Order: sequence, then structure tokens, then C-alpha cells
Amino acid sequence: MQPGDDLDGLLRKFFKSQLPQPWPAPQARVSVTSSKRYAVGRSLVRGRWALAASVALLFLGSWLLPNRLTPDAQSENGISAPPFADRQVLPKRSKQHPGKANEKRNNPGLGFDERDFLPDFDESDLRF
Amino acid sequence: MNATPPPADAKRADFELLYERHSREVWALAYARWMNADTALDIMQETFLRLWKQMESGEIILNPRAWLLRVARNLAEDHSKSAFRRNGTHPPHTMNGVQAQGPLPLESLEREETFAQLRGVLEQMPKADREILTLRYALDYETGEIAELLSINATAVHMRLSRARQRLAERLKAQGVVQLP
Repeated sequence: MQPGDDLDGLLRKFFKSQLPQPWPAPQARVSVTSSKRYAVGRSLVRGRWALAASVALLFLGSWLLPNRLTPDAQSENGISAPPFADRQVLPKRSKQHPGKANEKRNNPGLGFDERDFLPDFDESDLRF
Repeated sequence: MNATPPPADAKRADFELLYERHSREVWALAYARWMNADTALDIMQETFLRLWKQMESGEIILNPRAWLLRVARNLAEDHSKSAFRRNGTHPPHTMNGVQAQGPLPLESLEREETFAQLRGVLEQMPKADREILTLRYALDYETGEIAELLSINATAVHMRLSRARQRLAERLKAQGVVQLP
């Protein structure tokens, strides 16, 4: 290979062949593609944040909700208890069955007797 | 008496002047990085697009040439990441096939073959050497102009240019390039 000018000539031909011909005119405007790509990227990021926030709220709600269903929590929160939870003793009737006093004497532990709620029975009630 | 042009027109005129002065050397630096003319053109146009946005926003650039070269180098480096994602392990230049619209004359084929061998050797050289070679042989820059653009002294440019040419000659000879088109 011949040195010097031949190599210079080769290099000049090669590099000049790489130059764009004709040289492009200046483009002074916003690239729609890049701005569109930027907008799409931003909306994706926002969507992901919204999804993460929704999932977080879901977990928070599921964690908080069971705490509100305990009895203590209900009374504190003003939620009325079921009717059977706190039963009051009804007042006794004035006319009692003769055997009732004995039964109560024999069974002092009874707080109340079912027969207290029974109507007074009298033989005269059997007359037609 | 000449009226003062409106600011928008003046801005546009300044932009076009900067483009005329520096677009080729911006292209040359991008080309030296990638050895691909199309990629270098994309990087050059993106660089000037960013310059236009800066000017539109009213920002003042004290040294436009240095700003352009810095942005071009950064974009060229960023291109490597996106190029890997797009092309995988294939370097960009292998994706540019020869667009044969018909049978090429023998002379053109020989020239393309020689250019392909030269490109292969150039790609193995350091990027800094490719920058000097591109500025010298594509744009016909003198040693002093190259030194000013690359912020090195003229002696260093001369020495690196000589060493690069010597390395090129040796490698082309080793590849059997005996006759230059």
C-alpha cells in the first residue's frame, strides 16, 4: 500500500461519503413524538400511583373494619346491642302460687322462677 | 434606517446562525462516537432541538459552542443505552444494510468493500482518535481548529493524528488492503 497521500485520500473520501448530502436544514420545533412519549410516560406513572393508593386504602379499610365490630367497640360507638344481651328481670306479680315461697326457700339460688311469669291459677277459673 | 427585527425573528436568526456554524462539528463528534451517519444525524438534530427550546424559554447560553458539544456528547452516550434496548447485541451500524436498487458497478463494489474494511479498523481505534480523524477528513479542520474544539493543545492533536494514521496504515495493510480507490 502506498503511504501518505493515498491514505489521506482514502480517509477523505470515506469520511466525506458519510456526511449527509444535502446538509439538512435546521428544525426548530418541538418534536411531537418525544412530547407524546413524555405525556404517555407521565400518564402511566400517574396511573400506577393511583393504583398503589387504591390498594393501600383497601388494606387500611380491611384492617380497620373488624376492629369496629367487637362489643366494646359497639357500646363505645353507640351501636345498640342485640335484645338478648342484657336481659332485665321482670317484676313479680302480687298474687303468687302458694307453693312458690316454699320452692324459693328450698332453692335460694334462684334469682327468678319461671312460674313468676305464669298467670295465677284459680279453681274458679275452671268454672264455665 | 433599518427597523429592529422583532424578538422572535431575531431568536430564529440567532438559532440559524449557530446551526450553520456548529451543526457539522456536532455531527462529527456524534459520528466519531458511533461510526454511523444516521445516528449522528439524529443526535445532531436532537441537540439543536434542545438548543431551540433553551432559547425559546429565554435562557441565555454564554458559550453556545461548548454547550452544544457537551449536550451532543451526553446524547451520544445516552444513545448507547437506548440502542441496546432496541437492537440487542447488534451494534447499530450492522442494521444499516446496503440499499441495492440494482447491480452496482465493480468500482463501487470495490470501494464499498474498502470502506467496510476501513470502518472496521476505525471502530477499533480510541474514540478520541476518531474525533480527530473525523474533524480532519470530513470537515477539513486544521490542527488549530481541532485543538480549540477539543480543548487540547495543537501539539497533542498533531501527535495523535500522526499515530492514528500510522496505526490505520498498518492495520489496513495487515487486512490486505493493497490498492486504494
